[in-house]
Amino acid sequence: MSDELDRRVLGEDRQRWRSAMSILSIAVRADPIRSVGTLVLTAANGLTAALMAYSFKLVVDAIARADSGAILVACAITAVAGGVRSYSSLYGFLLRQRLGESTQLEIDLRLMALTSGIAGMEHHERGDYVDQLTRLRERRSQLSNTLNAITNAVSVVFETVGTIGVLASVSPALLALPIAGVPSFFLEARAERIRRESWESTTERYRATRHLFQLGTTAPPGKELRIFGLGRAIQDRHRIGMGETRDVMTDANLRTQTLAATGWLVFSVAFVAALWLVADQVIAGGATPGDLAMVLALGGQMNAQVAALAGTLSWLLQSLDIVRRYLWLEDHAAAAELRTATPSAVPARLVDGIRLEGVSFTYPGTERPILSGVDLHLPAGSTVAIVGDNGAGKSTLVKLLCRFYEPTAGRITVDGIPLSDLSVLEWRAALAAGFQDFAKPELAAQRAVGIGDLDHLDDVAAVRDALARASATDVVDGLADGLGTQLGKSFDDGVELSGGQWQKLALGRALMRPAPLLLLLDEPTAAIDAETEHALFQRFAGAAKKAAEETGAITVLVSHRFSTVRMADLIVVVDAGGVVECGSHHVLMGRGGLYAELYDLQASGYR
Amino acid sequence: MVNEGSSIPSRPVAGEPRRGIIGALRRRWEASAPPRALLGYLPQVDRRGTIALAVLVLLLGVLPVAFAVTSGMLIGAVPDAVEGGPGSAGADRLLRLLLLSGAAFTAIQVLGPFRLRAVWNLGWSVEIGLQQRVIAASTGPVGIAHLEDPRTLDRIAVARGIDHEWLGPTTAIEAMANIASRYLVGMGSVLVLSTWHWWFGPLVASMYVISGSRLRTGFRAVVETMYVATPSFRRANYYRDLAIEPVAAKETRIFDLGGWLRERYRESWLAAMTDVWETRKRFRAAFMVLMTMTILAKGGAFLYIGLSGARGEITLATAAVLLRAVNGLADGFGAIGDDSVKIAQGSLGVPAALSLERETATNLQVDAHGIRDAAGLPGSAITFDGVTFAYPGSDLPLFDGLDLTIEAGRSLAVVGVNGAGKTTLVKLLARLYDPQGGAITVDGIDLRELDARSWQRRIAAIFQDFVRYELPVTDNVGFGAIDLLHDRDALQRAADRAGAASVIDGLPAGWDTVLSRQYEGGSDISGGEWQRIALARALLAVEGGAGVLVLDEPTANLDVRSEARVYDSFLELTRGLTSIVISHRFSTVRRADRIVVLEHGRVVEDGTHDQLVALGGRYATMYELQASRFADEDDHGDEVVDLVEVETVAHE
Repeated sequence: MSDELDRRVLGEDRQRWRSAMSILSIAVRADPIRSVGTLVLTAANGLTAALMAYSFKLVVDAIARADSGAILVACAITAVAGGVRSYSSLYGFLLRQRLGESTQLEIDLRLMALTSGIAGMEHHERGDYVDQLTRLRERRSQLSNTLNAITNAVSVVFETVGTIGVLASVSPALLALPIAGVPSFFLEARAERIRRESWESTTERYRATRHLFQLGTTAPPGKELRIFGLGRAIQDRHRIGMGETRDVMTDANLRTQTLAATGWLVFSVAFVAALWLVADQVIAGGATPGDLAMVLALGGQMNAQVAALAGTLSWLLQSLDIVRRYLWLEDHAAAAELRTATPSAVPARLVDGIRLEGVSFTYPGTERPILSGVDLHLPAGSTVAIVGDNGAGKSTLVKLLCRFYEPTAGRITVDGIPLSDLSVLEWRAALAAGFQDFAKPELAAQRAVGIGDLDHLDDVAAVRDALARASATDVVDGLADGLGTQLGKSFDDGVELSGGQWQKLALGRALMRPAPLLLLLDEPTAAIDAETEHALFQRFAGAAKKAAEETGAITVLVSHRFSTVRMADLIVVVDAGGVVECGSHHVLMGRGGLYAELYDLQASGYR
Repeated sequence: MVNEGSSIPSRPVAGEPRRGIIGALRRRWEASAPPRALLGYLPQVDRRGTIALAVLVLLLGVLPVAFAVTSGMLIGAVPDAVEGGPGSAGADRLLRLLLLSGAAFTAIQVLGPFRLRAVWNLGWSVEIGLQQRVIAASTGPVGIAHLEDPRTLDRIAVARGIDHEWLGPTTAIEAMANIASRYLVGMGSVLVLSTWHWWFGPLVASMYVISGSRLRTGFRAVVETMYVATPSFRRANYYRDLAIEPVAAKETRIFDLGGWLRERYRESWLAAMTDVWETRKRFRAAFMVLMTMTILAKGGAFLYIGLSGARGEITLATAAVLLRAVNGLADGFGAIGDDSVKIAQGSLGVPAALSLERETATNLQVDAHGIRDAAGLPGSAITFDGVTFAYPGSDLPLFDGLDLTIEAGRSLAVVGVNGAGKTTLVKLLARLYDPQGGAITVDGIDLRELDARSWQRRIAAIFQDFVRYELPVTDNVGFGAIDLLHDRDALQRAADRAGAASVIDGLPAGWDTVLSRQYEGGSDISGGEWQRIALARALLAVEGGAGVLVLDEPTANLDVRSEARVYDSFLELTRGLTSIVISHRFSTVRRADRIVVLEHGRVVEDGTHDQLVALGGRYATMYELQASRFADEDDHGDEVVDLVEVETVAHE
C-alpha cells in the first residue's frame, strides 16, 4: 500500500517536532492539571530509582558500623524512598491513564469533526486518501499513546541522571558504566528496526491468513466452501501462510534477541569490571561496603533503562507517524473547506429548476474524465430518471448535485443561482437522498429512520409516516419492540435485518424531510423487488406532482429497471460521460437510440 | 469493597453464588478454566518448546535468588577483606564471590531475551494449532447446520477470539511465564529468609501476598477498560465509527449528522467512563492503604534485620543476604501489572477452540455415512419425494411433503416470493441440510447413500451471497475446481463465458491481481464485476466435472446490457447440464425448459412458460405484472401492492 502520498505525509523530518508539539498541546488543553501532574510524578519516579539504591547503601553501612540510630534513619529513608517510588509509579499510571483517556476523547471528537465535517467526499473515495484515512483509523488509539511514549522517555532521562549522580559519588570512574549501556542502545535500536521491517515484510501474508481464518470460521462462506470442496484448501493455505509468517518472525526474533543478549553481555562484563573496581577501592579503604551494595542494586536498572530508551524512542517515532497522518487530515480539511464569501439564500421554491451547463468532472487524483460537457435542465416540478450502463457517470451526476464534489469545469445553477454560491449546509438541508450503498445505522429503529430529519428524530408520527410512504411499515411491524427495537448485530440485544429490510429503512430515512427541493434516489431499491420499486416510484411521482405545485420540487431516480424508468417525466440517458439522449419515454422510443435499445433489451424478456 | 475473587467486577456472572469463601474459590477456579486449558494445551502442541520455556522460567526464577544470596555474601565479605588488605584470603574470597554473583547477574540478563524467544516460538505453535483446529471444526461437517445455529455460532465467535492481534494466547503465555518466574523468585526469597527464623519469610511474604492480591484485583479493574470494551463503550464507539468510517459518509452529509454523532459519542463515552472512574476511585484509597502496608512491611523487615546486625546477632554477610532477599520477595510478590488481565483475556477463546470440533460434531444435521461415489450422477433425474424440512430450532416446516422431479440435462427455473424456500431447496439438494421426512433421490439412489463430499463436487453454484475472496483472481475463479487452479486455459474459458474476461483484462496485474486494495497492487472491483467473477467460478466447476449448475439470482448486480448478455448465453451455459436457476426476473425464468412455482413449501405450478401463462395461475399473474410494465400502452400502475414481498431475515 506504499504510495507517493504516504511518502509525502511521512517524508519531512521537521514535521515530527510539529507532531509531538500538537499532541502535547491537545493533551494540555484537554486536561491541564493532569498534564502537569503527570510530568511531576514521572520526574519523581525517575529520580527515586537512584534514591532507593542510595538508601540501601545507607542501611548496609549503618549495619557495618553497628550504629542503631543510623539504621533507624536509613530504614526510614528506605521506606520513604520506596513509598515515593510506589506511589508515584501507581498514581502516575492512573494519572496518565486518565489523561490519555481525556486526550483520546478530544482526538476522537476532532477526528469525527474532521472526517464527517469535510463537505466533500474526496477523502472517502480517492484511493491514496482512503489508505491514509484507513491507517489513521486503525491506529487511532496510538495517538494518545504518543503521550505515554513521551512520558516514558522523560522518565528514562530522569532515571539516568539520578543514576549517574549516585555513581559519580562513589567514583568518577564509574561514570564509564552508563557508557557500557550505549552498545545496548544501538543494538536494541537495530533490533527494533529488524522487528519492524520483518513485520512489515510479512504483514500482507499475515493479513491474508487472517482472511482465510475468517473464511474458514464464519457462516456466509460455508455453502460455497462445501460445494466447491474448499475446506481443506483453506485450512492448508492458512497453515502454510501462518507457517511462513512464523518462520519470518522467528528468524527475526532470533536475530533481535541475539542482539539484545549481546548488549546485555557487553554490559554485564562492564558491570563485573565496575564491581571489581569498587571492590578494589573498598579493600583499599576508599569505599564502604554500602558503596558496593549500591552499585549492585543499580546494576540491573541501568542497562534496562538504556535498552528501554531505544525501545521508547522507536515507539515514539512510530506513534508520531500516526500523528502526522492526523495532521495531514487537518491540512486536507482546511484546504478542502468550501468557503462561500457571502452565500446566496437557497430559494424557498423552484421556478425554473436546476441546470447543468457544460459540466465536466474528473475525480481528483485520476486522469479519466467521468463527465464531460454535460448540459442538462431538470425542470422544476418534474420527475427525472437517469439510466445508463454501470460506470457511465450516473452516480457521479448525483454526487455533483449533492455537492460532494465541485465540477472540474462548467457550473450547476439552481434557479439561476450558481450552486457554488449557496452555503453547502443550507443546500443539503433542502435535499433528501437515498443511495445504493445506504447506511445501516445500528440504532433503535425509530432513530435509524429519524436521523433523516434531526428535527423530528424522536417524532414517532413523523417516522411512521415516512415508513408508510417508503412501503417499509412491514419491516418495523415485524420487529419485537417495533420502533424501539435496537437494530444491528454489533449489540447483544440488536436484531439483524436483511439487505432488503435495511434498504427499506434507508428509503424511509430519505423520506423524513417534509418538503425537500430535490429528492435524489440513486438505485435505492436494488435489493427490493421490481414490483415494490414500481409502486414506490409511482407514489413518489404522485407526491412530486403535489409538491411541484407548492415548491417546484424535483425527484431524480437512478435505476436499471426500465419498467419504472419509463414513468418519469424526463429520462436522461448517460453514456461514456455524456448525456446522449433526453426526453420522455415516448419521445425516446420514437427516436430509436440507446434508450430504445436498452428498453427493448429488457422488454424482450417479456415478449 | 475490594471484592476478591470476582474476576471482572463489571460483568457479574448470573446464577452463581456471590458470597462466601467456597463461592469465591469456585468462581476463581472457574475463571481460571481458560488459562488452565491453555496451559494443558502447551505440551500437546509443542513438547520441546514447552520444556524449553519451563526450563528458562525455572532458571529465571532461581538465578535472581542466587544473585541475591551471592551478592549479599559479597557485601558481607567486605570487612574481612578490608582487614586482610589486598592479596589476603579475605580479599580472595571477596573476589571469588564477586565473580560468582557477576556470573549470576550475567546469566539472568542474557537469558531474559531467550525466555521471550521461547515464549514467542511456543506462541506461534499454539496460535497456528488452535486456529487450525477452529477452521477444521467449522469446515469439517458436511452440512452447515452448525454455522446457522446461534448457540454454535456463539461458541465459534468465542473461539475466533484467539486470533486477536495483540491480546491472544501468545500474550497470555508471556504473562504466565513472567508471573511464574516472579513467584519462583518470591518463594526462593521466602526460603532464604526462613533459614534465619522460620517464621520470618512467611510473615513478610504474607504482607505482600495479601496486599498484592488485593492490589492486583483493583488494578485489574483499573486496566480492564484498556483491553475490553464493555457494552456501553461499544455503543460510544459505534457512534464514533459511524462518523469516521466511510460507510455512512454520504448520508452523514446529506442529513448533516456530524454534530449529532459527536454529541452522542461524547455523551455515551462519558456515561460509560463515569462508571469506570467510579470503580477506580473506589480502589484509589485502597491502593494507598495497601501500598503503605507493604512499604511498612519492607521498612520493618529492614529495621529488624538491621538492628539484629547492629546488635551482632547476625553477621553483616547474613544481614546483607537477608536484605537482598527481602528485596527479592518484594519483586516476586509485590509487583502489580497487567499480567493477570493479559492471561485472562488472552486465553479466553482457548477452551472453545479446543472443544469446538466436539461441539460442531454434536450439531451434525447431515448424515455423512454414505459411501457411494457420485461420479456421473445424475443420469436421469433428481427427485424430491414427500420432503419435509424445518430449520433446526424452528417449529415451522418450510417444506411439508414437497414433491419435485428435476430432469437431468435440462434447465429448471424456481419462482416464488422471498421466504418460499427457493434457496433452501438448493441447500437440501447440495446436502448442506438433510430433510427430516421423505427422501431426495438421484437416479433412484437416496442422497444419503452417496458419499456426501463426492456428491457436493457434482454441483456448481453461484449463491446470492457469493464469497468475495481477497485473493488473486486466479484463486477467485480457480476455487470453482481446485484441480484446475493452474490450468490457465480452463480459467480463461470460464472467464470468457461468464463475461469476466474484460474485468480481468482491466486489472493492473490481470489474473494475478489481488481483489482488495489492502494488498500492494491490489484492486477493489464493483459489485457487478464481482458477480461475473463468481459466475466464472461456478462455470469452472462445471468444467471441472460438476453436472448440476445452480444459479441463485446470478445477475442482481449487473446492468441491463450485462444481464442481457448472461441470459442470452443462458441456453449455451446450461446446455447438457442439469441446471437450476432462481430469479425474480421473468425475462430469465421464461427461458428455462421448465418452471416451478414454490408456495407454502410446495410446488403449486409446474410447466413450461407457455403452459403456465396459459394456466392463468400464480405464475401468469406475476409474469403479467412485470411484463405489463413493458407493454406499449401506459397506465398499469394500480394493481401492484398485493405482491409486495415480505423480506425474511433467515435462510433466504
